[in-house]
Amino acid sequence: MKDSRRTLLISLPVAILVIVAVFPFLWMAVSAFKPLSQLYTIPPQWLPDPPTLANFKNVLFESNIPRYFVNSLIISIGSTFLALVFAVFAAYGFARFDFRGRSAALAFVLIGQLLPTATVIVPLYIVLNYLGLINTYLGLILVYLILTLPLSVWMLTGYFRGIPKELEDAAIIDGASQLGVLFRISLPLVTPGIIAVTLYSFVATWNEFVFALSFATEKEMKTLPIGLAEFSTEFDTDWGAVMAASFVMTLPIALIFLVMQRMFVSGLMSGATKG
Amino acid sequence: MAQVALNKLVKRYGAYQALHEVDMTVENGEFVVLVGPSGCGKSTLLRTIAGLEEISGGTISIGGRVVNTIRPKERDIAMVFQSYALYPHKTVRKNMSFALKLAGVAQPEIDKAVERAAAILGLEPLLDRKPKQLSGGQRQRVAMGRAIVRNPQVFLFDEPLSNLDAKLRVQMRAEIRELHQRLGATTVYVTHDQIEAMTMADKIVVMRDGHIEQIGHPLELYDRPANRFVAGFIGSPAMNFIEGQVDASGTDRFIASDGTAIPVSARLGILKRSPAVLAIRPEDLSIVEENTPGAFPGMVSVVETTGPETIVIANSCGTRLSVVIKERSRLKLGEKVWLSADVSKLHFFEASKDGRRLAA
Amino acid sequence: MTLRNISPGVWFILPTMLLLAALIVYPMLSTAELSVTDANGAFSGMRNFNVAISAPSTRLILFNTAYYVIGSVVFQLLLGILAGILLNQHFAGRSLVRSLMLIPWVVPGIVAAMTWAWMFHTDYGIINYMLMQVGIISEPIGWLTNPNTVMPALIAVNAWKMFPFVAVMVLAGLQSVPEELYEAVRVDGASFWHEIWHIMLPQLRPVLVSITLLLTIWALDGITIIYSITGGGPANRSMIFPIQIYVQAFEYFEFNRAAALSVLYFLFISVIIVLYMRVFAAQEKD
Repeated sequence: MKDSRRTLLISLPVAILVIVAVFPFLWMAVSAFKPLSQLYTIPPQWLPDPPTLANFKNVLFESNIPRYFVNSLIISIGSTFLALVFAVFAAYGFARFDFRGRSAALAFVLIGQLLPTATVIVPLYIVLNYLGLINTYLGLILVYLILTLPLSVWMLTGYFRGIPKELEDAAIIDGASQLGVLFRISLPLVTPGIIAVTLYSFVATWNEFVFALSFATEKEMKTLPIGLAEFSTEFDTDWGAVMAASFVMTLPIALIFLVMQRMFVSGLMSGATKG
Repeated sequence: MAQVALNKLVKRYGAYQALHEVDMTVENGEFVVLVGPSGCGKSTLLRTIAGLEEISGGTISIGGRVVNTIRPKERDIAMVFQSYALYPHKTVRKNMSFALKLAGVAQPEIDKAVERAAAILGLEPLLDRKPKQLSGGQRQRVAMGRAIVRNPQVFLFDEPLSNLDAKLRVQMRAEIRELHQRLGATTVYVTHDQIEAMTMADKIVVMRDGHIEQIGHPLELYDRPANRFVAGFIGSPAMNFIEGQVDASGTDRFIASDGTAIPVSARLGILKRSPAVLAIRPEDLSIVEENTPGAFPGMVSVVETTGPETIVIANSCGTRLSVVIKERSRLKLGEKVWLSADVSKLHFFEASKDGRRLAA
Repeated sequence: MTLRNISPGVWFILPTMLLLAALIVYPMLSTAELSVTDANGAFSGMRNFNVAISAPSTRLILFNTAYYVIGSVVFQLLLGILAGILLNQHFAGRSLVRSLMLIPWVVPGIVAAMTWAWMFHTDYGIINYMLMQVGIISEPIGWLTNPNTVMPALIAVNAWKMFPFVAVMVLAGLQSVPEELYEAVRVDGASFWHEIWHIMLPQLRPVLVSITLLLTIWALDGITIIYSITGGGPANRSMIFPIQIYVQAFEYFEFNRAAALSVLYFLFISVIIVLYMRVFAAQEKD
């Protein structure tokens, strides 16, 4: 008796929670497969009948979305990789050495991670413009380091700290140089951290909106989030296409999430708690 | 093989001084154990010999060569760590060959050296496993294997047995000694466990607060501790200390702070009337009949049986005295007993903070 | 100081620090310079600040920003704490529910914005339909075009997007509460509500303090959702501070005025960042 009451007390809120969390996502998916006539009906039609790929055809063959997708891919991968290279060294330096100014430098990295993009957007535009990097891949890749680098440094510092000091002492006794210790011993041991950082950086840059909006204004250089926003700012929003494009954009993220959910969550958490 | 000599070695961390002008020599082929409570500087000392810590003053020489600024890999040493520090992502074979590989030794020679070390330690069947797949004792052996593969001049051990359970620890103690006898390498071994020090060392170095308190053969330390600290640190159960003074006015007696009189040797006249500490090991006290000459009273407060012997703790002489007896005891708590001290086994220390040994 | 005396750690972090300085410090200094000069680069004192502050829309924008930030953070915390406590209970399918709950957080911000914009659609939106079905409203509401509903609607989107983050942190905090503590109060005869009030919330306090500050910073940085759904409209009713900076710079090309706004914005944000870092440092120490 008491047990069934408890079950009800828990399962009802759980059901509400699941609906709240999942419904918008499902509605997006469902809408993406609806033909035009079923999108704009009163009352709304719950399920597409029959489902159609017309919206996807529209998005994939008659819009700029594929180009934007490729742009996003290049910029995200570029910035993620670049941040990783720098962050491995910096994080190792922070984790393993004590030197004057260390905590000030770490605090600066944390500030960099917390700093809202709007504060630096104006001068960044001027600098990029001066360097001729507006509307280039390199421009956005560099600017995205503001998102990816501090975060990667923070997360990797935590992972490097997790490696016992004795292990590195042993390697030094065995004759390894400082860089040898890093590449032969420590780096292989923080592989989970590298994966988590890569995922997080990729997702952060893949989703980024404001910098892309400001620094990639030409059709050839726009990224997916901007392309998506464009659909609806035009007068006549094609909601079927918007939902299909949203679906396409969410797909890589969903795949990453499905394949390595645990790592993803712990990565997001360490990223969040440590700044 | 080589001698290790430390001369006025100083190590500072900012304002904190971890080592105070330490002088110490480890002879060629000697097994020296550094022992002391945690924070006494023994591990720091070992790490400076290894070259993992820079020194702030003095010299370290290995095999007659001053190595103060020489990097660890050029010191011709090997070290076994408390956590074993096996590379988790490498197999046992790779763990053992890493140093030789870094030194640019040819592969066939590396293989030979690894096989030889593995044979000595019985590691052959484990060579292709990862550290995670090994038991604590096996890991310990691999850590030693990694050290002996390089055939170094000096072996350094940093509390290598403290992560093992009691039974395995006793076994590994013997194995390390055996290995040392077989290889004859100069060895510096750090532990906080005085029993390990007593059973393994050719020579013990007792440290406290960055100072060396005493250096000597294990039994020398046991029989003639240089000060009250060493006396209390070496031996288990710990030595008993009784505060008071020698009363040489008529009879040769030591008067404890509560007035209890304990007979002492007549030669102690020189100490008379100055405050001192009388010390006696628990096995040099015995429980006797009431009318035994020189016996003094106590009251039983704890009786612990270990099997082969019994430890009786008695309130006496203004303190708690441990007495180790061979026979089973029927003593009850609160019972009055009579204690007798072996006059030839008494130690005396200054009542001062240093508590230096007084001649007797 | 010779090069040999410099800790190797400095060399390891140097490239990153230089890069961050170029990407963050230089632009910030440059922002400060821009804010006190005119379009020709001549020193103009506080004029840009005066113009920016005295603009008629400033009060509305400040109000909107506060409204959006407070509303978002309150509902994110509320929903997140409830979800976290719920997901800490034992029930069948718990791990599946935990994964599903993360969806809003994982979905890209722009996708969330578009999806909710579609759901809020006045004529064909599912939200109006459902509310009318259950009789809460009698005719469709123009959620995103009505000046009175646009902010609550945007806050709802932001709350939905971020509550899983709070829930995950709360869950992690609750899992670090030793089971004996719960057992102890149960032995003492406490009810479930006592458990929440006397065990869970006190244990969660440090976590909640730091995530509240984080959520505040993130809400203040909330351009994506608002800009892509309403662009700040209707009639500036959803215009918040960072969007105003963007609009001044890239729609009106008033770079100096935008810089002045950036400076003000940064000063305010830095107060919260400093608070957060103090909390963070205190927690690191434990």
